[in-house]
Amino acid sequence: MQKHELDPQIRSLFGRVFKMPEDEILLTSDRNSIKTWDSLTQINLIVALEDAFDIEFSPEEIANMNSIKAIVDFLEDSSNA
Amino acid sequence: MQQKIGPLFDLKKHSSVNFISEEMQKNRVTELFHSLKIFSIQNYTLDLIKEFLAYWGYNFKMDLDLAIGNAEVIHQYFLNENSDLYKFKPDVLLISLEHDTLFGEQSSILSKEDKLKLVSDLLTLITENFDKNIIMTTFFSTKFSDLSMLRDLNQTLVQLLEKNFKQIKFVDIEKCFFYVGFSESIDSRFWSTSRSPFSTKLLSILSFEILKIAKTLKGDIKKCLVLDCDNTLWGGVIGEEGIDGIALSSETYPGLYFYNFQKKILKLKEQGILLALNSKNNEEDVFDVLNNHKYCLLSKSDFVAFQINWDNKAENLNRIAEDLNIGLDSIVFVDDSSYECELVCTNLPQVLVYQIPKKTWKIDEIFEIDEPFLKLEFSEEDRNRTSLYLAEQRRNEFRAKHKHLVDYLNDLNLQIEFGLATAKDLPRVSQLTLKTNQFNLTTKRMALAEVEKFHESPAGRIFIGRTSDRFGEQGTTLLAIGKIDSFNCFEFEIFLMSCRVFERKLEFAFLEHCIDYLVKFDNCESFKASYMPTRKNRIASNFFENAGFSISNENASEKLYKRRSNESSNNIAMPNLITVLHSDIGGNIAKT
Repeated sequence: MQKHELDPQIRSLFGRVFKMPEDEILLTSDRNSIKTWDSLTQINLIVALEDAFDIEFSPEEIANMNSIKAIVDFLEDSSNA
Repeated sequence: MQQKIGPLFDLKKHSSVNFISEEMQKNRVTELFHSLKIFSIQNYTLDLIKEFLAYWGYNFKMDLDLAIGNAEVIHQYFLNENSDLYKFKPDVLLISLEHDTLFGEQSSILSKEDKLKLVSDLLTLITENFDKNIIMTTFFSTKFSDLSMLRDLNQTLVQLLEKNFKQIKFVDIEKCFFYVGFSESIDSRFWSTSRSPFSTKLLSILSFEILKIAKTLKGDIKKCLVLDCDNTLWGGVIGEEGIDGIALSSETYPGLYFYNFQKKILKLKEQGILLALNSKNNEEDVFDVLNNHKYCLLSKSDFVAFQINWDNKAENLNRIAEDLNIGLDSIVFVDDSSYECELVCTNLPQVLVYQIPKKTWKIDEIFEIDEPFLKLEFSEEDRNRTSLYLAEQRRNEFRAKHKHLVDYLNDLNLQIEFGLATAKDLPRVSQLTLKTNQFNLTTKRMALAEVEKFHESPAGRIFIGRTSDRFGEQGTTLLAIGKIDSFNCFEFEIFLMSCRVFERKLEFAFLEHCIDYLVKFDNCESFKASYMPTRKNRIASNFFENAGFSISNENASEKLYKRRSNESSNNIAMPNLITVLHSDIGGNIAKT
């Protein structure tokens, strides 16, 4: 399944972590366009994702999670695996 | 919805990052919130704790501002007066050190004594240059195999703190590890990639433990526990089931849980917490259980106030606060009914409310982790508090028999034992500054460390008054703190009186004795004082005017006063009713 829209559950998670309105978060958003996305937020994000989807990322995977699309792809891959 | 149950740590609910939601923000009762600035120095990455401290801060009614420092440059913070630390002006300094990083390669060769010497030097530097509150975590390591070594080291560290660094409060980080479980406490991914060792679970409980201490240091202290009866002190409804039908027992389920809860309550009373009842019942039914039930540990004389009636429980709480002359924000209320809990939360948001869990076996958890009555310093007054309040009730009855205040005061045989505070008085001095809200002219809070430093300074004077009357002693209830400047002028920075001894003109007699002493022994020629209004101290707003001071400047946040030593207050007719004893530093008492 190819996703063009963000799943509401994950959209709300992003909104909470990045402390911004959910509808401003787009599939094309990345670390440059989201101002609050610093290294601290990155860890909060990982923890929130791991908690919500019951998965565990490796440090390499974490290092590559720099855009919303990359994260969504990751989550899809791990749910297909 | 208002937060119903006062901050209750639940690992299941709070194991991940909890954000302050918009709904929480909306329900925030702004005037009840205090600000708290924490500056943290640690030798590992602790930035993640920010969100947890903010969340738990909200639950403890504190707006949190956290600045993260770095232990590698620790000396600079204290030796440079323009350092980030001093610029930030924290209320609390947090110190947390990871064992292996601190001692490095040498850690296996160093003896326990060597390690503690290093820590002791560091803490000496810190305490000599920083006199606000300090909270330190005990040592931890990311390796399970270090556990016994660490336990041994931490035990000695705690002894060192208690002996040489009393102003440093410690958080037992091993307890946090124990609670979460070691394997769930460390996230080795973030430790290896960014030196950030803790899992979210550990960060959550650690924040909770830190704030529990911080709120106490900020003066958020609970004084009174108000309890419901049915399904709170015993299982079942006394009005329906009768004394033989309620569940209360030292052995069997479910009465055992209520028995244990009573045991816990009794222990709080011994620590100086006042107990009161607020219950929809017939008084005689409740007293029957308190007096006659075989397993009822609490007896009628353990309580200082009763509101056993069919009135609104919020109104009852207002009456209890009024009777005991304490603020609603120093009350903790426990009830089993959601309706009552919500009613009190909505109408009296200052009161900290706990609901007895529906699952009886969870009653044991109440007050276990959250410790709403946590107290860091104990004073002699704490142990006698209930009898002090009971004497107050006898005094009120005595007052009612006298038509005129003067006659009443005359018959009371008031005495003040006046003197300079000695080292053993300092915990009580600090406690008075933290707990007194009403008759407190400046509401300046002083941690024990600050009081101790002040006590040692040559120009500083700390005067105390121990009061007593025909009904007994009230202990140290009067306090004046100030400094003498180079022009022989003494400025009262703190002047306060405990609410236990209101309306007896003691404050005037005490002030005059402070001034007499300062003129006689310190050659003081003039005096300055100030009044800073708060929501609670209106009772003291005209005190200095009435005591012969004149206003030198006045604005919305402060009234400044002065008085010359040769001016006296003519309008004080009372001091002849009060016998004042002078106690000198050696403890000898001479009558004047």
